[in-house]
Amino acid sequence: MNLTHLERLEAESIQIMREVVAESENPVMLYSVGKDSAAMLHVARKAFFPAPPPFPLLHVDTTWKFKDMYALREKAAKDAGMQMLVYKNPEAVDAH
Amino acid sequence: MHTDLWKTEGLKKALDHYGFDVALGGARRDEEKSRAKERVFSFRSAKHRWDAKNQRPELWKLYNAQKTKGESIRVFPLSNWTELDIWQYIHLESIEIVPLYLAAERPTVERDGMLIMVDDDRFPLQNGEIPVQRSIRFRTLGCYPLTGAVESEAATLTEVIQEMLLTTTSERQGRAIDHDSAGSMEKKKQEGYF
Amino acid sequence: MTTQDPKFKTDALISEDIDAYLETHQHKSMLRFITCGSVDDGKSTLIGRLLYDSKMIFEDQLATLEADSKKIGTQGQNIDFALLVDGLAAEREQGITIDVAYRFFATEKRKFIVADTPGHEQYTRNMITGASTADLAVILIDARQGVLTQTRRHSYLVQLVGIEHVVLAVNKMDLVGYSEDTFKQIVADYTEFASSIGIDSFTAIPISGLAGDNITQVSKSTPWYEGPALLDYLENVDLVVTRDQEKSFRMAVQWVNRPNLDFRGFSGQIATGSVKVGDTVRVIPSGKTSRIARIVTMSGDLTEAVAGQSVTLTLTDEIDCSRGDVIATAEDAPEVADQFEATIVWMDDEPLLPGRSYWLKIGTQMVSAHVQPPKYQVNVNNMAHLAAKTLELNGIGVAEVATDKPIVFEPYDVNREMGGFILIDKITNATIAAGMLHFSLRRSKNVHWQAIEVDREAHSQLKNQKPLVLWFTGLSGSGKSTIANEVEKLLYIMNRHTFLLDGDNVRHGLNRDLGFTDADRVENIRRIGEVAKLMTDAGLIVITAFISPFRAERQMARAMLPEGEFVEVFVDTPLDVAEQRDVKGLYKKARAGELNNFTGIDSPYETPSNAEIRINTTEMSAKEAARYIVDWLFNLNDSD
Repeated sequence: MNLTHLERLEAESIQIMREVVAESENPVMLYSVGKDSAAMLHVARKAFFPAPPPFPLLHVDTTWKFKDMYALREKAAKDAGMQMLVYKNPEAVDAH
Repeated sequence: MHTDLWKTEGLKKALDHYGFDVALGGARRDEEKSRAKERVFSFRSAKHRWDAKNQRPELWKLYNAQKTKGESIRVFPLSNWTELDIWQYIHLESIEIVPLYLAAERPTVERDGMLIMVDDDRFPLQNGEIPVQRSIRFRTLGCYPLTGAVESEAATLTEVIQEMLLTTTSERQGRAIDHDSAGSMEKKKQEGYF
Repeated sequence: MTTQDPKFKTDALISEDIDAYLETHQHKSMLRFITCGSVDDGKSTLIGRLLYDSKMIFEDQLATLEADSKKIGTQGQNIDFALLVDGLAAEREQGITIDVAYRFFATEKRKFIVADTPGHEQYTRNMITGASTADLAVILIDARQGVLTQTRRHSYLVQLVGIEHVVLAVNKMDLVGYSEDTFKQIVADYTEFASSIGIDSFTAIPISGLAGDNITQVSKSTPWYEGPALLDYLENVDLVVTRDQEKSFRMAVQWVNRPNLDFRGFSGQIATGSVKVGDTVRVIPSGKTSRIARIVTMSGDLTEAVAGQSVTLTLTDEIDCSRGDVIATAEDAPEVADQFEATIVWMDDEPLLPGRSYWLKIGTQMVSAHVQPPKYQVNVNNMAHLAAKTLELNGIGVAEVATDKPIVFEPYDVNREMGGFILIDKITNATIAAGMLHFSLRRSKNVHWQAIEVDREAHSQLKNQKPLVLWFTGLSGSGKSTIANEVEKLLYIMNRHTFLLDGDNVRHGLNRDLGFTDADRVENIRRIGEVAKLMTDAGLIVITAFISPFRAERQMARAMLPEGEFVEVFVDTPLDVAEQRDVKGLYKKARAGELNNFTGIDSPYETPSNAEIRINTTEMSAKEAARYIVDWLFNLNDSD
């Protein structure tokens, strides 16, 4: 059975994520709301199914993201059954 | 200034704030030259620095996750994916993405040679600027004063892929941060940029 | 470089029927390969050409590249493709490749990941990093130069890592007038060398990266060449992952998935073989068998899964199984052992220390392990075997490896994933070596667990260490306790079971009744010797830190223990230095006559004449001394 390149890439990414969970104390997944984050989150859901991915998502929020991005951010976390941590850097907020 | 404070300092602070020892990120090796050299498990000092010339060897699928308190590891599970792989995967698996990647009529202004979308009143218009409706989409989504849109009619995922395959400029051209000289990303990464 | 080759994506199809294009692209397979060769063999030009022809270089990148080439390139006014792949500032400045760079391109049939690996010997570890995941190696040779030392070294490493397919790309054919004789001579030279190191077959292709001969299409300039163009070969060669599916089923458990009490799944990536629902499997090392109940994925259960896939398996029985275990075909399960012969590639600035305890990671197992002095080291430039006591950075040798508990494995040449390991330094956490297991020296599965006498030997075996007494002696204030403490910390990190006896825990309890007369000093030492001996019977490494001024008592303690288990450490600090330090103010008191029988003042210190270790504290710090002592301990067999 020939695996397609996407099947191999996905399997490798899943292997990496499981290693992270097995070998770290307090892992997190950075989530930028972009397409790469969307794909990464999807792979994570597949890696740990039927459990939700055993780490939270972290969005470093510049407060300057598009409205559509904030909407998807909340939905993506809810769909995955994961916690979404939003961190706003106090210094940078002041600098704006 | 904006990017440095947010992406670098904000991220370091956030990781320290929550005490995360491993952070998974979606960076790919095909994005940029210094990323092409980065390990999947990328070790960071207690000050979040990346030592490019002295990376841990990484063999087979054996990842070294050992570290002492304060040190951390950035992990890039999508290292070997290309932009096209990402798009195809999103297409195949029907993954939900921000609608801004798809073309639609949106209010825009042209500034410094970039098309900027007027998202809401957080964005102050400059003298004489009047938003114009254009069919636009985004190749990358950063912070909106920094991210330029492209004029496009690609309103579906397959059309976006089609447009991407036929395009002759690299993906990240819309992002102001990458207009710097060769080596700037390596420097940013050394300082703790993801 | 402007016409588009039909092997790459066709703009016409993309424009006309994107769905048809996507459909074909989704069924591509993936090949990983490395390029290696000497500095000027044209690696970068070749990669640059492949990227350019597959349109992985965009116009804006090309513009930057052209500008950079003129500014800092090494090709005059021509495009310097090396600038595309050398991504680190230091690399561009020095004009060399330090670390492996990964590049991506695709044809209509396959996606390719090419690892451009450094050629210099000092960056061998980075080359090995790139090679370890490759299906194929392209070894470049400059047609004008022929087979060089670098070619031989790279070929040896390629063979060592077990890369299945080797392409000998004889480059710069345009500069030798496309001479068939030159090509044939190089192939003949290489064939002889290759078979001597175990590369049985390879494919030789005459190419020109710069002129584009035999890269994407067979060239008219080499009518005498009947083989495929390089890209044709890369597109059609067998994939390792597909071949792995023919082998017996093995999957190392990465993570146990337990979202609720009703579900217990074992997650991992299948290393070899395939598995079907209902298959009988064995969990190693426990040896328990069960059957596959489900193969769970988010897109629905599978009936079968194959090597390369990441899956979650559930079993029909509630048996113990956790991270590090291997689930395998019941009738053909892998071996378990704790002593091996292996080839080791040393990758750290600090050399191998035989006997030191390192972390060994293999598959999903991580155990403590130590390496014996190498049987030999390989001179990677001429493959000669050299005698060696250690391995230094980039050194490659064969040695025995012992793990502190049995591990599941297969020989590397049978199964890369179950025979390849890394060593990690327990203190610096650096990845210091890569290894490839050859075979086990003693099969743990043949060890019979009989009722055993719980004796001295048994205690020591359980702790996986040789008991001994490290007897520190020296003047008051010489630094005995400080160094002893550091030694204990180091041993602790190395998973050794230790106990430190010093004034604090002995004088106030066991020897509370003793003073500082000569007689009491002797009794003090006798009791400490006896306690230390009992502790070695319990299998411990005992560290004692007492002035113990008299030779005879030290000899008495030595005599209580078996030969070789008493290690005397003389902390040699001159009296004036110790007195100058006078941490506790005791010398001052003794000089003032407030303390009697003070060693060095009014009671003698008999300098050891046969101490195993002598530490001069005016020459090294406590930490350095501790490291020196620990290093000495694990080099007991060393003759010097």
